[in-house]
Amino acid sequence: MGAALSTSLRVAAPARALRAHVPRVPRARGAWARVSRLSGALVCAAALGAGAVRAQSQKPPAPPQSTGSGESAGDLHGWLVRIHDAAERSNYVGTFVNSTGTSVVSSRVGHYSEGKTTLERVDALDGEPRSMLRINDEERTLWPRYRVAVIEPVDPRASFPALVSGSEKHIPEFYELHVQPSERIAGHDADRLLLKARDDSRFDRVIWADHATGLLLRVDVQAAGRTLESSGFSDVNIGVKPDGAAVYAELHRGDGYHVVRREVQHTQLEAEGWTMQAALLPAGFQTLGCVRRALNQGADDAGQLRVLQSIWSDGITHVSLFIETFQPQRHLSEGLTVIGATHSLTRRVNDMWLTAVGDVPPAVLDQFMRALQRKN
Amino acid sequence: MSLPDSDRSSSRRILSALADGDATDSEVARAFQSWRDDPDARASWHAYQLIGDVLRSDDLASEPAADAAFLVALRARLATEPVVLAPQPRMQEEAVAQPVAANASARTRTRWQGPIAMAAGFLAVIGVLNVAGPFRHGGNASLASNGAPASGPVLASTSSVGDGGVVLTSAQTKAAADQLAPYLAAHRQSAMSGPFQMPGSDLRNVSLVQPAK
Repeated sequence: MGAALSTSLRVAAPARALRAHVPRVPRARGAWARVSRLSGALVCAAALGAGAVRAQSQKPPAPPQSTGSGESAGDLHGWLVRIHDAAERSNYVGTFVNSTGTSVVSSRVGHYSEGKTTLERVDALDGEPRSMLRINDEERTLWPRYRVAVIEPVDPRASFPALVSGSEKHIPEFYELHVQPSERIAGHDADRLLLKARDDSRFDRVIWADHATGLLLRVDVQAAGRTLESSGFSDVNIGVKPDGAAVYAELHRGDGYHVVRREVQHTQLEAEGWTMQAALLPAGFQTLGCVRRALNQGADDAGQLRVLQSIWSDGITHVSLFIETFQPQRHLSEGLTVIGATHSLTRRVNDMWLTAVGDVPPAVLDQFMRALQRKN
Repeated sequence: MSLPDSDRSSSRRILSALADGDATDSEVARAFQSWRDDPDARASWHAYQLIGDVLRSDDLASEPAADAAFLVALRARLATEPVVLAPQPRMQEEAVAQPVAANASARTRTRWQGPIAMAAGFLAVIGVLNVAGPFRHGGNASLASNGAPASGPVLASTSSVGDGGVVLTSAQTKAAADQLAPYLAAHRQSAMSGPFQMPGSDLRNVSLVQPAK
């Protein structure tokens, strides 16, 4: 654990160096911009400037120093930066497995960082064949059996809202950090962290991060000690040679496919005639933005259905509240649906149809629905 | 439904074996089926039990209709058991017309009472809908009929139970899942900026239905 002793220095150094780069970072788009403007936190730099981190040091920062089972805001911040940084910087290939207790789904994942370009390829191994190719902030999903390519923008993962907004400082108010004995995961020695929820408005998370690099290896979502869902690598090679050709070659496989572009329009809840009653919201959740997006958008679907999506986060987990006009032919059943840790609540309220989705207890989704009201 | 004589004697032999505790697994299944489908089998089953009971005590003798009456009563009691949390058929029009506040508070009382942990046991759990294509037109396209691999889309085996103990059909459950799929996908994509998201995790448990034709 010699490396751990220098934690604070090594985490802080790139962040300090990056502060100078902040003004050069293009302003975040749409609703993210407001969040970004709020950010005065130095961690913003770390979040947005992975490239500069590389310039400073090729070595990953060591795990935050810890007394073993202690908790502090500083520790948590260090871990978040380390995990985020590793996700952006690492080159790795592995098999990703998601288990909900009733099902197991796996996919083959390759993530490469070449200079300022981030490349990612994810091939689903179960169900309908599909490949997701990400080049920086654009993602293409290829459906070979249907010869359809769906192109959509992805919010840069580097945005990492909790860090950008500085709201990660509030995370310790809602989660206790416990550093637990390390374990071996997917062939790697892994640091194990427990983020234990301090109230009933969120689930616990157990996180395993590669001890050498900080790369996230596995995440379990738990409620009262019971695992609701587990996602992680069953095997992963970290530090592989970047294989951008694998991504570009697959990209060309989509030549001739029918191309569908999905766009999202950034907006604000208030501008759309809605408001949230702050007193009714679950503690700790802050808005990350609001978008208008098409659902079920088809190639020839001119009258595509557009819904309003309001996105909330407590820094660790997300909740989406979808708002749309009620349509009897589409909105068939109200109620709660559970898939692993993901809870979804649907409800008709007068002429509107609400859908709340998130890895949170169902009562939280109900709170979001009740907090929503028409703006006078 | 009555069975041919040969089947009936076979059925009775199996029922007899079941009553004696000698039936194999497959025979148990057949016995249950014949009990369900064949009134004669039910009468025979009752007779076998009655013989055993009377051998033990005259007080245990009962009419053949007693079994059916017991089942009917049991079903009636089950139907009145409260379901804490469950998907429900869409509300009646008149109910929906209530003011939002009243609507919300009434629902709050009825639906969110009791510990959530307990409620989890009553939820409709949908397994992974990990099939499908990027989008779908229409609400009830069958995955199988659209050429999805048979091994792909699996709706949860767990039944969903509506209010009042009404068991939703698999078609209703599937319709609810289809309805939900695009929302899950959109949420996943939005949540990918979270601190603990890994590449591939936006594929998790999302059914994106069928691609456009």
